[in-house]
Amino acid sequence: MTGEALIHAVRDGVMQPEADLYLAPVRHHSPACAMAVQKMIREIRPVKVLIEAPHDLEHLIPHLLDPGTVPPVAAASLLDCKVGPRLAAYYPFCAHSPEWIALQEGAKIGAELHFIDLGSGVKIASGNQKETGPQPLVWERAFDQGDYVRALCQRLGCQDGYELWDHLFETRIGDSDWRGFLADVGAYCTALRASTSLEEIESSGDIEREAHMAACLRDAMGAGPVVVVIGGFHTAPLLDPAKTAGKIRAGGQTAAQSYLIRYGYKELDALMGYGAGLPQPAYYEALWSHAQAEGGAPDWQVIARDLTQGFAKEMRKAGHGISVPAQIELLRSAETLARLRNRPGALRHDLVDALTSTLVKGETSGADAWTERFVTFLRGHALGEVSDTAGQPPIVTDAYTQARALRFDVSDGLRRERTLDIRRKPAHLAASRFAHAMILLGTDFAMRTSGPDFLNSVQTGLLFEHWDYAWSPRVEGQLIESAVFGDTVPAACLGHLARARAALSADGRSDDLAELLALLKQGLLAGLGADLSGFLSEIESALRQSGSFPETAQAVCTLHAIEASRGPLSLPEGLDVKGLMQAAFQRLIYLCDDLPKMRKETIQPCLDALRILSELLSGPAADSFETALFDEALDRVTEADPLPELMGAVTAIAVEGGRKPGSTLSAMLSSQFNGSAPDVTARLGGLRGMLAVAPTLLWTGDGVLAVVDEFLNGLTEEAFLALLPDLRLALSALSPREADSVANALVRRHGGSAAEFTAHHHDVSEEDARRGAALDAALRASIRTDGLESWIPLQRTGAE
Amino acid sequence: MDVASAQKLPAERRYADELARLKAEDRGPKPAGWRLSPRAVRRFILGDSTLEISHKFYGDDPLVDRCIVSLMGQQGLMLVGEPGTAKSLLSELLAAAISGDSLLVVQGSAGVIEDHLRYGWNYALLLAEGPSERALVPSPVLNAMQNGKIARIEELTRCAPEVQDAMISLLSEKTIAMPELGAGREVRAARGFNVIATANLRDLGVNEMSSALKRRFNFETVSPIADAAFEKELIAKQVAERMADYDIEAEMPADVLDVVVSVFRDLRTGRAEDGAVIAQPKSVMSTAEAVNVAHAALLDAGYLAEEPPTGAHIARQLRGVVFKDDEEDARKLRAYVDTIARVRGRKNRAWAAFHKAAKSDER
Repeated sequence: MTGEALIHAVRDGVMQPEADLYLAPVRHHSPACAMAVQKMIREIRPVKVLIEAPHDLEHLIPHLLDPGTVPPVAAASLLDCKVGPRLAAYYPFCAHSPEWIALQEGAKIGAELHFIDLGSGVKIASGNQKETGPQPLVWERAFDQGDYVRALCQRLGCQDGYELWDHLFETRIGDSDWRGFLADVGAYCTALRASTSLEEIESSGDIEREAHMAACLRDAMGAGPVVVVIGGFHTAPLLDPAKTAGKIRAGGQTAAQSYLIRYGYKELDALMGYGAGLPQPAYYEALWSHAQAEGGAPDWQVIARDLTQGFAKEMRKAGHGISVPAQIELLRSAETLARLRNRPGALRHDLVDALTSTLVKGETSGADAWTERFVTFLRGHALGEVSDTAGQPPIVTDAYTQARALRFDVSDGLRRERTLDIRRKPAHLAASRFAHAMILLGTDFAMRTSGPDFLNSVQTGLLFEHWDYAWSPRVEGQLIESAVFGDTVPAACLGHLARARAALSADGRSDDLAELLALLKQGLLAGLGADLSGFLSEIESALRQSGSFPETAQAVCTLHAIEASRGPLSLPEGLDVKGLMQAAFQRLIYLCDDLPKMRKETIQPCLDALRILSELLSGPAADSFETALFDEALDRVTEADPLPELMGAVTAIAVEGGRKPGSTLSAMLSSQFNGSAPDVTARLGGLRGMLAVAPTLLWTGDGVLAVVDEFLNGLTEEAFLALLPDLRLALSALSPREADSVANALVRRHGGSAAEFTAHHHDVSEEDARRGAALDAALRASIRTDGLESWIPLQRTGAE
Repeated sequence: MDVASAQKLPAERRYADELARLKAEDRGPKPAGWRLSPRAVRRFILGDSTLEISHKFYGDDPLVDRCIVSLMGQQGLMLVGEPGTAKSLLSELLAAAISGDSLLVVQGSAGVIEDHLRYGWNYALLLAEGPSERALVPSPVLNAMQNGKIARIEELTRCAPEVQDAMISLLSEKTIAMPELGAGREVRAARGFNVIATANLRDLGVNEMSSALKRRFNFETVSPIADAAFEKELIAKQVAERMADYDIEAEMPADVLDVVVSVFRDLRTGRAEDGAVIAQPKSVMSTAEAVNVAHAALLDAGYLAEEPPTGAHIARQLRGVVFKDDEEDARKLRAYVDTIARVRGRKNRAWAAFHKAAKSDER
């Protein structure tokens, strides 16, 4: 049977009292369908209610029925894959979903409730969907495409398939003839199916799903009336379940795990990327609640007025007031449009059209501010609630409870801002730690917009943190994906850290101290505190194996900074960072003995490390470490005849620390300068080393500048030019201010003024210079002939 | 006026038969002063095959609904949008269907003074008799008010701001005072009166509209047609309608029509069908201009060259009809010919002819 005959067969066959089979073809999240289903179940009083949803989600039905569960909620289904990422899919319910109503009404009359679709695992895995994301509970072929929809739109003057649906079906919400209504939905969807190619139906896996559903129907029939809530597309194949099912058996194992999560209207909006249902759920919710209040067809004028007033109120709060005449004109336009279009009252499109007419002054474009605001208003931002007893993964409950306890407003899905006074208010610090933990878990809950960045040591002195946060179904989904790591937020955080460390090992970077310490900082910011001690021992073992002097030096500095920190990084009781820091220091001392063996290519990082170490040990951390050990180690380096650079560096440190007389340095430099190294540049090594760790010694050190000056003066022009590049490189360690100090010291030594030492660059060719001189002479002669000699400044000669 | 030889008739005369049929069939409720019910107005503009009513305004049906609804209310209707998007046509059709009279028009320009919106005087009579009703010359707007009809104001933003301001009281009070005829003399608008204004907000050199005036209008934006296939069909139909008045047999081959549609769409949107970015000229690349070009090309081919129309005729007309002495626009067209048209010409004869003629035209 095809074409018109099939459509008639569907129209006549959805209600089969003789077989006790009552089909309810629906569109997902349609309030009119939900209302019809409600009336149907109340009248038929079936013994079984079958719903098109993955059968493995059936264990969630008691939780869905729990009074503590408030829609919108979704069943989240997770499938672990052998290869590739964990796949997740969400099956949302809202208060005006026919499936939700079928569950509620079925439970009220004590009917058996069953989900009859193939397992969610099959659907997730078979979907072309490589990314995780929401999946419709009832799979719908787009109601918005195809010749049939287009032709009908044209005939009825509708803009698109959504308006067409509203015009044809939502206008009939509360219709007492629910039989006629559902038969029409079935017929309409069958017509849509008829304009879809067979290949497309087959490739979507519908045939298998319909066979499975038919098998469920077949098994359920015979014990009294059965109501079946299904997507309208599947009506025709289910008219005769036994025939469609054949020998297929229903049920089966599933590999997917499923939970119940809160869901939001933003995610439910069909135009926001979610593949089925209707757009702008808050509008349809208004429709539903008015119809429910009336117990039948709603008063459309009241709906339009309530929505307009609600919108105006929200806009006034946001600072975009709408004048009363404009509101009246908006309502008048919407009502008149609806009448012109043959409707009982203003529908969504009429309201949007009226708004465009009334409020938009000027040319409209795709992204007009008022239309956008109105659409956002009609979308709403409600967020559901899942009962405490529901099989929600504990981590979601934990995070939600904590968020509420820490006074994050998570009552809806709106994005909010919060400022945290992390240094003075312990409660704020706790909130900050929670937000950091949520970041560590890879959720989109919060984002730090400004404030101290301890991870990268930027502006660590700031007092306040500013956050942007919102609780959304996405956050719950991400939490559920983290649930494998632990049942609470801190446990999952530790799991994340362990995984990050494992990933480092897999990369062959298990001893990457900088990365490990960054992870430690993340853990501290997330407030993991004493729980990190296991992680500390891992860092310690990495430290014990560390062979890199610069990395270890950096680790000592970082650990000292953490240890000394009194802010959010400050250490909890029982976390032995001090011990770790000492271990790092000891390792460093040990590694000092490797320094003399360093090759020239690797010396620069070591010099830098020596510089930060000497700054640390002579400054804030002098009391934290046994500096004598470091001094002794350096002395050993001196004795081991290291590279001239190292020699210069360690001597400079010793002199700067007052452990050796200033003359040691000048003597060392002098011996290097006057040595017999054939390569003149090699004689600069000591100077380079000194400049790298303690540049100020160049002009403050005892006799240092004199030695350098004498050495340079004694060079031949040729040797000086050969040396110049290396000399400039070595002196580049000086900051401009330090360079000025050196210049001043040299001026004191040689007399004269600093300006004379300033080099002037002129790109003057010989020819230009000659012409300039000639011109100068001619000018002078001319001035002289005019008797203006006194005007000419004296030509300066020499040092005058 | 001799009807047979007039170049263009007003809509209510052009479509007199259709209006008569609609009126005969019209059972719907009519707002006061309207000749047709709102639904019949809609059918008149958007067509109805059962009554053989032609489809006259294309591309945005909800817009027509909104316009009709606006005119039923207290607010005036302001049609805005780029030139050549059939704003004036829509305004004419609405006036013809609602009032049966689309001739109550004020053409906005810098020369328009307040009198053009209110009333003027027959100065000979004024001097002879003093101010009297006989000496008063009503404006189209006053006429519309007295008779409860739709007044049309074209290009409102081209009028000076003080003239625009005269519209404010007119629209909010719906009355014109005539102090010269005695205290308290005024004309109150009969029911059915409203104003349709058109404006081009983007054009440089137009006067800014005051927010007080904006508040008294419902704005509707008329956009260029979005659907390419539909635009093509429309151009073909309109060209055929125009050619019916000439005594030559000329039909636009489909591939040549494709060239016209693509050139205009590409240059209007700044993007070719394959996504290539195209420099947009300042000239108006509207559907109406495309019809002009296609029409002119047919005349060129039929009368002058006496050969079937090809892409070459399109190329020759394009410059004259669209690119009116703007150096920069000519450069952009040249770039389009050198890149897009050249590549397409390798596979398609109409494009090849277009490319060749456009190149030789440059020299």
